Amino acid sequence: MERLNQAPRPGGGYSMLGTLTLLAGLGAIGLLRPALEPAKAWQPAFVMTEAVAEQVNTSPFALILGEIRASAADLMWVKTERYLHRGVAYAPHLNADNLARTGETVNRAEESRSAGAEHVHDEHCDHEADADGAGADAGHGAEVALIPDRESDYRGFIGVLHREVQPWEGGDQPHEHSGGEQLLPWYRLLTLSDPHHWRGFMIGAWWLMQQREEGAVSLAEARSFIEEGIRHNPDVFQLHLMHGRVLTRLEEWDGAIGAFRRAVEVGLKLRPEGGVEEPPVWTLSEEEDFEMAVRYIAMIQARKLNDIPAALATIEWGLRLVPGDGPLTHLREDLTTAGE
Amino acid sequence: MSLAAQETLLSMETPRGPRPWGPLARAAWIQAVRRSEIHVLLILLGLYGLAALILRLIGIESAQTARFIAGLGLQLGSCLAMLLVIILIGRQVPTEIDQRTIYPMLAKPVSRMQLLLGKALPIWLAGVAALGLFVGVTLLITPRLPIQHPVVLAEALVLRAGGLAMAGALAMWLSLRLPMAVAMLATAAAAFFGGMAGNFAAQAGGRLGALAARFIPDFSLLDQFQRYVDGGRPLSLAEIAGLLLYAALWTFLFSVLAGTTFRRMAL
Repeated sequence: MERLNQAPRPGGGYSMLGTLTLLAGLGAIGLLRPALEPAKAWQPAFVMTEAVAEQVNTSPFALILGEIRASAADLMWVKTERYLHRGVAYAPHLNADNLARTGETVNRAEESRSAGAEHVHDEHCDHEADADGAGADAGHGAEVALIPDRESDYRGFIGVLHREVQPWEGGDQPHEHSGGEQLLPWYRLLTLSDPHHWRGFMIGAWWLMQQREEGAVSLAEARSFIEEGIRHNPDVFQLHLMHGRVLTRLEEWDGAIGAFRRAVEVGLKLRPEGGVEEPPVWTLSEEEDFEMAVRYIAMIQARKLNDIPAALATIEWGLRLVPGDGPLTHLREDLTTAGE
Repeated sequence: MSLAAQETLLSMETPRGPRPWGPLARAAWIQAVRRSEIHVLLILLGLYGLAALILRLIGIESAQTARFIAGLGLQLGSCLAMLLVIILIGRQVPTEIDQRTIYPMLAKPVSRMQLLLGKALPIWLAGVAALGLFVGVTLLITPRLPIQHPVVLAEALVLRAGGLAMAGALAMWLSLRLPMAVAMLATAAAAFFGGMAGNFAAQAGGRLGALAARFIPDFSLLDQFQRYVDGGRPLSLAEIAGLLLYAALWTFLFSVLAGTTFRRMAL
């Protein structure tokens, strides 16, 4: 059993030798490590540019986790939409194809009902109109709920029970909205989960702006939130538009004009000639946002900065982009008349 | 310890050469088989085979899908082999100590360092064999793309074997200092997130962080399967040598630490 007691005496020569060996080994590793860094980076054979290669993680695990993150963000987005409708699930709100590709949740029922009308927007943007106008509880347009009404439900008693225990509105009722302030944590989470979910940034910043009682604090948060969104999605012109709107509320006029100009510049890269619809790249929703960015610039110059020549020049520029635009034409008439 | 393993040890009554850890390795292998540890490998291989069968039925229609499946299979195989080595090596000595079967082993004419080597070596070999099997199955089910170089695959296999040795040595050392489960988790964390931690330290910690990052074991350097999948160029001989030296240095350091800890351990 001699071997059982073979441990060397603490503090003996072995310990010193061992320590020196460890230090030498660590030193060698420290010297070697920087030289190995190039082994971590390689140029995939199918990626053309280094810039693209830097942004792409080709690992299948990364791809799968990325999909899970994006899916989680989509689920949270759907949850916020349902919450805004007081828990009522409306059947036509989700265009799964668009949701998968762009996060867009176009209201197909409204789209078909009012093709060419002024209100074809994604569902969350409808709430902007509500908050701007008649208040958060205003409803608009009858919708078809996911749970069918009595006439079209073959399930009989089960259907009755379903309508009783789940939030539900009949097809003849206008759907109602609730306030979105309580959803702010969801917008925060979904944009953390998927930083490219630009609608989460846009609508989250919108609801932050609506927290009137919080005042400057919430406006500062809205600004920070939308700027974070722009950092992650610099090519989404709607985010620049929302940035401009936040700065407008902060009365930072020059910054707001800059943001609206960037929105127009970025939007022009996508916008088809004349702003004609080319779904899914450019729909009436995008065109409305684009026109809004142009109008804001002229409005701020005319009404806030009182720079009439600049406003008129902007109007001319805007009318070349959006020929016959009503608000711009009216503003030009106002300014011209006032000038005379 | 199983009867067969004890018999093998008993057969070493007379030292037969300068490397008595050979029979120890055989004993550890027999023990792994008797304790059904090796069955883990068979189960994992069965899962791989099932996935392969499903993919064969569904079919791989595009190069992109082939690349994705190959990447998934190779990385999964790499991870599973790593886990196998960590779990099996991590439980070797603590189990022997708990069951008091360590004493007959220490009574034999083998040094404690030799005992550790005899425990770790067959499991490392089993891990390398498992990695080879997983890689083989993956290659069988996915067509090789023209951009993928067999040389890169061979390099990746050799380097990953070095990574398994590193992980095995770390698991052995930590299992002597920490509770068994904690040691396994800590080793797995180092093996799977060590590279990430190094990057984080280097980016967030300034110059000091960058210096500290050099001394965090980076197992991701030794995982080059994605390079093969993506059609990256083969590493140069100097790069391969550097990476193997890196793995050897860490393995040596962890082994020295394990040996020192074990020699000083009161049993």
